[in-house]
Amino acid sequence: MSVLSQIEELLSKASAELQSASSAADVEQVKVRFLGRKGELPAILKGVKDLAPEERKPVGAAANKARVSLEQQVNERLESFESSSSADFDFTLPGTPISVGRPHLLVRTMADIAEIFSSKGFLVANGPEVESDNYNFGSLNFPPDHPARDMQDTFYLREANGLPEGLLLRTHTSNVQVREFEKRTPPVKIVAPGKVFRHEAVSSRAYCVFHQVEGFQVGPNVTLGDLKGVLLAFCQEYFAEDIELRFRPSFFPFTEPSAEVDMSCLLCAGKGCSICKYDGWLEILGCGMIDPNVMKAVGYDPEVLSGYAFGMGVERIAMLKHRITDIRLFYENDLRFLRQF
Amino acid sequence: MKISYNWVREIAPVDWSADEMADRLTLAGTACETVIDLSAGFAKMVVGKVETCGPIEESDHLRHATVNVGEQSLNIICGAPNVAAGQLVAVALVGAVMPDGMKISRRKMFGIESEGMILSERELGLSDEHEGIIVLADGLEVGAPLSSIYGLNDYMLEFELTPNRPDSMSAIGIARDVAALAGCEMRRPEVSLTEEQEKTSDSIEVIIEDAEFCPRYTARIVKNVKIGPSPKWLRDKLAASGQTSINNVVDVTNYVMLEFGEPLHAFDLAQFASGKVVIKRAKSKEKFVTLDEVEREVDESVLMITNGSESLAAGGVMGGLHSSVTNATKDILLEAAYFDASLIRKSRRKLGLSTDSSARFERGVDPNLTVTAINRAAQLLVEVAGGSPLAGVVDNYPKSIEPLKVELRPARCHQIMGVKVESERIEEILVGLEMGVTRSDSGEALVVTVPTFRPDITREIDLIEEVTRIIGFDNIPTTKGYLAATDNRKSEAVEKQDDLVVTLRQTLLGIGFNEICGSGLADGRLLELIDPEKPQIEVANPISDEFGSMRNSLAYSLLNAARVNVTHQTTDLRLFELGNVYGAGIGDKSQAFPNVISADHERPCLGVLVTGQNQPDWRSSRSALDFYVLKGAIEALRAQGRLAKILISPEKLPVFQRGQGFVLQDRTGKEIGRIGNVDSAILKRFDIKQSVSLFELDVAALTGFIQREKNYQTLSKFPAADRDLSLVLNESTLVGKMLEGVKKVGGELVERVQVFDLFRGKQVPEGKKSVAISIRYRSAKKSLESSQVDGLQQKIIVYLKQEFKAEIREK
Ligand SMILES: [Zn+2]
Repeated sequence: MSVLSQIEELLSKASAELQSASSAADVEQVKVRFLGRKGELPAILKGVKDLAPEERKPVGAAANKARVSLEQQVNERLESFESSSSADFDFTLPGTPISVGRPHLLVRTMADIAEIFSSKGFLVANGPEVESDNYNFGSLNFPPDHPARDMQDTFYLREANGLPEGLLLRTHTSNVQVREFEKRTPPVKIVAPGKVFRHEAVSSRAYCVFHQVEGFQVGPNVTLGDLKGVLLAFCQEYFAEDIELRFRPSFFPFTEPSAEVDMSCLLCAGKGCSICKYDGWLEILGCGMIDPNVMKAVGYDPEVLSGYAFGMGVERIAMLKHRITDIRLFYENDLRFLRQF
Repeated sequence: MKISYNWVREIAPVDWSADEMADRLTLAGTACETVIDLSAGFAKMVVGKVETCGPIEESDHLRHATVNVGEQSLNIICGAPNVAAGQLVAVALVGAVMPDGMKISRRKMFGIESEGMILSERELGLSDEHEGIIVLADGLEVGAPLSSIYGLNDYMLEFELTPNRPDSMSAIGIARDVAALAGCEMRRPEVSLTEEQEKTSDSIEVIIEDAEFCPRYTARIVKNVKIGPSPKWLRDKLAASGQTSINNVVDVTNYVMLEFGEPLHAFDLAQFASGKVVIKRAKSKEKFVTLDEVEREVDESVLMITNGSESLAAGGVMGGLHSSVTNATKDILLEAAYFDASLIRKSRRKLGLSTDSSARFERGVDPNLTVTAINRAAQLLVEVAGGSPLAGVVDNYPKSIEPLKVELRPARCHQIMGVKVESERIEEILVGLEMGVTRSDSGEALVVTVPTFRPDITREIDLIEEVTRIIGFDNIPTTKGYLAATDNRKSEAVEKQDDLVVTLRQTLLGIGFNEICGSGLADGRLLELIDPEKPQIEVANPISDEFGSMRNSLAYSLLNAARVNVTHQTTDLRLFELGNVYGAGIGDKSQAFPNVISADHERPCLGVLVTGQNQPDWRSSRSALDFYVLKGAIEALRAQGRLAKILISPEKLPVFQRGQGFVLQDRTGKEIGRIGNVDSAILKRFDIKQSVSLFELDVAALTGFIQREKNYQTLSKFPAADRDLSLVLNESTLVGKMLEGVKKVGGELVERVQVFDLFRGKQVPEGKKSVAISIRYRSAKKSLESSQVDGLQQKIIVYLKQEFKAEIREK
């Protein structure tokens, strides 16, 4: 059989197979078998170089014509399959819902805060919410019957149902300070996130329960400068690089010197706006150098050691960061609120 | 505390503006919260003369006045009962803005157009007095601007002082800080007095029965005073310091209190006919009418100032109504005392009264100031009320309180602050705060004499604080000592529990549960409904019943959250909370597991709630969020948390529907939680009208059941064979028990058994259910022959027929 008739036969065979192909995959197979690098048509063409020079030209032309024709048929067949299978494929239909839960904003905020301190080598510790007067006040240098106790209105617990007398709901996570000091030998660096309770009327600005992150460091040479340093580093990492802090001397029984710390307003950068009440500053935390009486109460020698402590309200920080205007939303647990974060 | 800016500058002459003074004091720890410009706020307000005043027919209390305001007469409708023709009154013209922001405009009532407003003290923000309008003194020019009377060329500084700073509760105290900050000299008022021949001690004797609580009592008599209004300078200073003027005598005692911080009291001397001032504890259940005309019951916690038989004042808190100075008073007994701070705290709590006097005494006044203050008051009484002071004072001060000496080492100051402050600078600061400073023998320390007006300073650290606040935190460089390394190991048990909590949270979030946060405080009545047996921790001083107890289960918080969401039409819920439950002794470490980390009266728990249905989808039908979803969640938690098996055992439990509540147990049968469908009566109380399922797990207990790291098990290289089986079972047959049986009979060749269909209805006889299961067989050692699989399948069928009376349905 001449090469030319071989080509003709191959073309009609391939055409027939393409017509009977029932899927795009079949068409691809036919294409590979006849046109592929190791397919039948290239195999025929390989023999062309053995032909006499005058025969080469017509064979080459016929082979080329056959290839073009086959390629065209392949494409037509592929198109016919594509259009029939994508006709009912609507890529705009909604994706299958896959439920993912959201962490509570307060839990997330506490974890974010703790994470920053963890990265600076602070240990994250917890302490009890039902607490004794001693751990909440006494060992933190709140003398009994001192006006300082009025600063933190306290829920006291009834001696009933098996509960011993003299217990209260902690008013700050500073109780963790004393409890950890008792267990550890300095140097120590700890942050204590957790729930605290204050006897306060519920309103959009205040709730009788809130969360706090207390942090402290005790060591041989811990200074007020270090306290300023750690708070500035935290605020710049958590809020924004260009945050500035302002320290206003204040009073807390368990620290001395003490200060309240304001942060330059996130929104107006100190120029004054409704968020900062046109002050340019936002009050965010309280801090100070740990009072020698607190050190003595846990057997640390204040002559050898010094330390700082700070405490921040988690709700306050979350409210500032996300511009939340009503603190009660945190405890209502309305998913329309919780799932925004 | 409020104080006049001008007054502070008289004592500490600085050229700071009021705002600057407020800022500098605040940054030195004397927090000045607000500055009120007293010259502002009287725009469009004038002196008016009431020309006519008559009733309005249609109204029972409003009256129609015509008021001359200089160039014209205005019609004004007024509601005050004390308006009368001829009076000089304060009038706000149309366009004036009141302190509360209200703008005066023309208003038409009863056919009369009112063209202004006659003002009361409260409307002007001068006092709470709103009963009647202000009647101005005669002789004022009609039409004169009101600012010429009330408008003070002054600012009111309002301080929010911390309880450790009694020294700053006066003009002199504030000025002391200003002077220390500015480095200027203070100009104290000069106290000088011309006295009568007659001695105070001839007329009165002071007997202190309880010197512990009244360490000092100083009395002075001023005779022949003329009670009347105070002069303008005195009224202005009081007004700019937030005090209402009462009469010249009371104003003088208030003035000296504001000036020096020493509360004074003026009695009508006629009340001391006995010639004695006796200071003693009140009798139990004694009745006493205070100056504010309220009868109060007092007891031994209150110190009374008496004439020996009658109580005349509650010492340090408030005078009595019957001993107060009246217009008929001629002779005055002045009191300047020093009361114990904690006693005054108790007294004012007992009396339910907080006064300017008690606020100062309970923080601690200067015991060595009484004579200066009482002489200053006598001096002013001579000036403004024409009194004649008797010679000397009667000063009962049995045990003198001396200034403390405290050493301050500049090196220690450096150690705390982290920056070196030269000892000369430290000395300068302390001297500026009116402390005495000398060098110790070794020369290394400063010996500081702390005046008695600073009872808060008893230790070196207190002095370091003073140095810090005057230098200012801003001038302390920030350092990075916080990066120092420490040993941060957690105990193994704490580590384990912390890890478990993270795993539980992450797993639940991953499978679509939303985290909630309950407050922990709970309504005890609802807790009791949820579980009447479980004891509660009760708050002794709750803010309301709603927050009267501590939650003893997470069910309470979960059901509350469900209520809120269902109310807002979010009816399909998957919720969880990781938090504490509270109960006396529930954290007892001996009671449960060796690794429990919890405090004595609280325990970390996990609560999970579902209700409603899965989200609808265009290609799958909705399925209920119910008990079985919870079982699936527990299985996911168990797998992710590497927890040992959790068993479910039926038991009658309070929160759940009868027969639908179950105890969750560990392998040993110990209770670690509960699961079930919530009782409908409870749901009703929470306003939830759809079924709810929940479970609670004790996280502390779970921590004890974390399995050690598992060893690798080889994977079978051989193919599995799946066989399905359709069964008809009695309704009472427990499918879970049947599945366990299948695994047991099938032995190690049964890789897994799944239920893929369950239905009741037409094709199934009454009292029966149809269950379809799929069994996967696989060997680790070889390819299973189909005959071997069929044999095993047959063995299982026989077993199911015998043990569970199962019928096999042919396909
Ligand atoms: Zn702002």
